[in-house]
Amino acid sequence: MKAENVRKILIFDQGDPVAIQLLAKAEEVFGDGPEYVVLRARGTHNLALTMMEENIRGEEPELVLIGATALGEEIAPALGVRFETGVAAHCVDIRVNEEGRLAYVIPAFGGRAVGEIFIPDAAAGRPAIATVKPGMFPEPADAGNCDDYAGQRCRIIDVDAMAADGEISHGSKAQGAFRMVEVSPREHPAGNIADADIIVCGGYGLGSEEVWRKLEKLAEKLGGAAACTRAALDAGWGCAEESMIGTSGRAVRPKVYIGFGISGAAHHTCGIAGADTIISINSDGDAEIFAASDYKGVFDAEKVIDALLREIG
Amino acid sequence: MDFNFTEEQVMLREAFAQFAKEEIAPYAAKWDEEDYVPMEIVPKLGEMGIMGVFVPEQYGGVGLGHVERCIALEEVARYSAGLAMMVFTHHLGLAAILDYGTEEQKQKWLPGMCDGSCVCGLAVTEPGGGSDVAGLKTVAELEGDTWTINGRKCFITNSHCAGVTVVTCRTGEDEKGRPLMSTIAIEAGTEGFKPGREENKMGLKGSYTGELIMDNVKVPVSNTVGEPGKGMAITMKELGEVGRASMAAIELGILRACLEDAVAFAKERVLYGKPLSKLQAIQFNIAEIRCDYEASRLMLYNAAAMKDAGKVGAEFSMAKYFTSEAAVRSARRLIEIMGGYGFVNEYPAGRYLRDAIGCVPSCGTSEIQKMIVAGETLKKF
Amino acid sequence: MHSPRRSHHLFMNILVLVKPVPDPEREKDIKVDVASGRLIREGIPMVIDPESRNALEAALQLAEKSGREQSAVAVLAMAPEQARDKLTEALAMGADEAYMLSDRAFGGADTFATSYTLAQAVRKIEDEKGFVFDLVLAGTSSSDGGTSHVAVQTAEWLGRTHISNVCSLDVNDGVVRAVKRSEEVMLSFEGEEPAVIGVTRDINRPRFVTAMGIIKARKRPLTLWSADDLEIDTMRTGLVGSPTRPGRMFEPEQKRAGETIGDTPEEAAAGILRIIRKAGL
Repeated sequence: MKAENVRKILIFDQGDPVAIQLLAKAEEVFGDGPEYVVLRARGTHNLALTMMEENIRGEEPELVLIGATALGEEIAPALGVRFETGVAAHCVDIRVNEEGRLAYVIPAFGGRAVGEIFIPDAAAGRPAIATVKPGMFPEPADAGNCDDYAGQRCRIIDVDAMAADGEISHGSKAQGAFRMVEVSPREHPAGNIADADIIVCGGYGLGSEEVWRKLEKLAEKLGGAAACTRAALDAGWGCAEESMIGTSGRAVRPKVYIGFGISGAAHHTCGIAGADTIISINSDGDAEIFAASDYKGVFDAEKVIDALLREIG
Repeated sequence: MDFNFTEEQVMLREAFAQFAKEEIAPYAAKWDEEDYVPMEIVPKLGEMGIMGVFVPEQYGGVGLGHVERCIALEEVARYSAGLAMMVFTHHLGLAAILDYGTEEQKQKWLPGMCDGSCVCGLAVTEPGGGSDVAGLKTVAELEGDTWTINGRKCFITNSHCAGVTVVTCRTGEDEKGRPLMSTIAIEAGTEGFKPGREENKMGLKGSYTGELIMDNVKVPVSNTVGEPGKGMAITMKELGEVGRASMAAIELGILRACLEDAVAFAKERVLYGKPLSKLQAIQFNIAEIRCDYEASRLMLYNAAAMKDAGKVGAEFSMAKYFTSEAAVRSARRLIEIMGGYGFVNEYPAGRYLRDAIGCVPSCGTSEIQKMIVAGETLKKF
Repeated sequence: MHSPRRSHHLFMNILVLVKPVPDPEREKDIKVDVASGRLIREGIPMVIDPESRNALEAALQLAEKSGREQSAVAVLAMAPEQARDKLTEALAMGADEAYMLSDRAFGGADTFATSYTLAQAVRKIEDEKGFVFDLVLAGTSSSDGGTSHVAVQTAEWLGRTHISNVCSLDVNDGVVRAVKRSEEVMLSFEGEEPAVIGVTRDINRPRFVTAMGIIKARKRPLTLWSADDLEIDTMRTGLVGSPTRPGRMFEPEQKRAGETIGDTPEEAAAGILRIIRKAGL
């Protein structure tokens, strides 16, 4: 689909800051041309799929952008089948190529490679659908109040308000024919690392749970968040699934990211590409991570963590 | 001629390799360092089918052959030769019962041996001599329906954990005054039968090696495995075909460990600005380990295939002799490739060398093997 | 629209979608050919995708809980014929039967075309057996494509409920309970209707393939279907049926300065603190 043919873009706002990131990115790529519509269904997740389907039929956008959260990851492909259209999953970029065609850059093999894909037959009412992980695109500097999009040029379809006014029926909370019977909060809700300015991340090179605990303490003392790689998570030292950074985990954009004992497997480096400053400490001088870092230190992770803890006191 | 494993054998090898990677590899160094015998893994070995891979299904086994048995040992030994010693000795005693035991004995003992609830042992060697089997002094006297056994065995693997041990005893003399032996099964806990000292070994840690003491042990004559008086032939056959094959398979596992670790180290370690693997001297070392591995592999699996097809001669002796010497060579080469790292215990190269040397005297020293091979060669060529 | 409630039987019939993929432990050996923009993955062995294994393990556990003798676990894969041994492996793990969809027409499929093809096969299997599967299980996300689409899209084609990111699955008296993990909360759902469920890696630890399993797999059926065997619109399969089209591949660019931060751990620590202060934190 040629970028110039995109007249309307529909963005799904489920309450995660990703919607404002998507809006900013879309404006960067498409400028003033298209109409931007935000469907807000923050408290009505069970209606999200139905509402998105109805509104796509009504609004006929050429492009739909959805944050790749657990909810987004279910809605987007379902819409793909209902509208017989393509879904570009976990985009690390969206751009217009030399021929003016809209291209989606997506990772494969956990980020080891990235590739461009196209959705050639997208059109109004049969939109291209793209999902993007929260944190992959930056928030605009003038994000202002994300809650009501003050100062943003978009039209809001407020499903939450409609549901509150009784205009649409919630129905019993369900997923298809399955009824929801319990909602329990998670121990470490995902917000932890998503907003952190400093992230201290541990990899397999930490070597033991003892060192992981020291890293957690360091993160706390620095006023930052502790995160881990897939390998460290699998080692069972007690890191939380929602603190894992990688293509199958989260993408982060802290001011300072400090990695300890991380080799630099592609799926992890993909998740930290948005950090301002990346510092890596690893005892292996040839670790791939150093090529993706602003600062490097070839030391045993534990020694530097200990030194930091001593310095801070 | 197809020298490749069948699709099913490939799948089997991968299944065993996956198990070894997850359940053995992470702990092998610790077992070696602490001289710890991981009895807790035995039921898992049973579940995997490793304990009874060559036992017919009707007795609780998997019903495969000795090629598959060697595959299992190679995969276990690749990460822990010490644990593989426990498994091989278990197979050795089990094979004696399977090949020569009565239906009743097989029904009684084999299912537990296959599922890992009973570890088996075989006891031949004595303080008076290992290579001199004919000179053994453990005596079993028959009175009515009961054997009374007296004697001492040493360097016996599984001494402290076997539920059933097949013991080679002197039970009489033939008309020329030459000793007659019988193989008799003794269950753990039988009065007068107990393990003695446990050896502190240089290598092959992860299994018990120790003494067995028989002090007026009384067992029913129904515990005789095979015909009384045929014990020598039974012992020699099982040692020759199952014992030596196992040692070769274990040494093969060590060889593969040396090969894989040598390649991994050579690719990672940078010297003079490039990986070691670019240096010819290192490449030659690796080529030598590779040839030793491939040759050993072919010798062993050829012999195992022959046994599965019905008949094997000195092939296992040749395989055991060649493989054990090759493994010791290759472990040494690995240490030299790794330089200082080869010498520190954080890396397994030293363990490979200690384990490889430990296999050389087991199931017949290299000299014994050469005697056997020479005997066959002089007749055949 | 509603299938009859399974009050007359408690055992389960489950289908698991499995995907043969290049071994993710070897992913660093995957290279991109810069000139052609294509992936080079020769020499990398195929395995059953890790999350597919979790899905199969979940199915086996549910079947064992409901009565293994009367329950049935089948596996289905769309893959080239060379991947056949992966289905044998699934049989060796404990599945009762396997179905493989292989045809040149299926090649180059994106998730839309793949899920369409799989759904047609599911219907065909159900027609032949005369029942609808109580559950279709799959991994939520595969290690190669990682889109998390196929379970959801297959459900859409079949018109069934889908739930992804399920980290816990149980059945009691015919009622299935699925716990889905989302960012802030854990959501528990219950239902009796046939559904398609995408599981996560931490739902269980898949059992090993054992020697006995390999022996038993010999007798279990592995059925190979081509496009002709399915009632299928081939224009909706393979590359031709894919609304997304691939362009070039490349290795991600992530070059940064890599300046050394100190000569000792203490200097490194001081350097790190300096950087943090400079960033105003």
